[in-house]
Amino acid sequence: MTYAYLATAILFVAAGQVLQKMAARQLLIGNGPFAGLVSLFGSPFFWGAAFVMGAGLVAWLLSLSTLDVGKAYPLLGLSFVVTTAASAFFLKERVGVFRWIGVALISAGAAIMMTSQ
Amino acid sequence: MSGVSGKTAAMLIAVSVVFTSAAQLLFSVVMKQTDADASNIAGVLVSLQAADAIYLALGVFLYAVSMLAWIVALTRFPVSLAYPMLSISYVIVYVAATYLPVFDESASLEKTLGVGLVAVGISVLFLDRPLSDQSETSSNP
Repeated sequence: MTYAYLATAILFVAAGQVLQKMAARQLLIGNGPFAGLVSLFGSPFFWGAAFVMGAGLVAWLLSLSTLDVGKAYPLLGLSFVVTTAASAFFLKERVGVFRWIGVALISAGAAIMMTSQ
Repeated sequence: MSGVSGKTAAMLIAVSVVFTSAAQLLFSVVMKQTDADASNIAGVLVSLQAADAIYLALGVFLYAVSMLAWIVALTRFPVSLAYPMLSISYVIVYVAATYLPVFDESASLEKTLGVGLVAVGISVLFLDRPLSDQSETSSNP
């Protein structure tokens, strides 16, 4: 079950980033922090993001309690690849070759940290 | 779409990274204290000592502030540039888990190499386009 929790956490992390970006695209900046918060709290994308991040946090807590923090945390590195793919697919962001290389290096670094336990 | 300045957005990302790292470490401390079955959330919560509950609440608060800062930063930066920045928290958590007595995890050459790769990866992210053209809104301020 440990790794199922972690897989759930990673998918919810990516979903949370996509939803936060959709909330940010609607956010009105410039009328003061209060007006900004009101517009944010009126956004279904914001609440959707809060929900999947909360659920992802629960899944993360469950994996942390069974995996060492020094092992569980680097495994979350897969979230960089998944989130980058989600931002290209769902948000239509232009992801150039260097950005993919950078993300791959970051995930590789995480994997090396993971296997050195 | 309007957004904050690039400098403000970069600062907000830094705030998010530090707060997220601190929250992760707090959660780690809390979960190490409990003997309850991990699949039983209620059991975990009931077994917490007062101090642990405060750590947990502080971690959730840091996450909430981090989320607000993050969304404002995302008015300026694409997710595919901003999200990989969160890997800086790996370095922070690694250093903290290694050197803070409460975690007592060991350092190693491999882990240090991993941290180095993460750092190189972050640098490579910015090679895609000139730094002045990284934000989504810079072309129509």
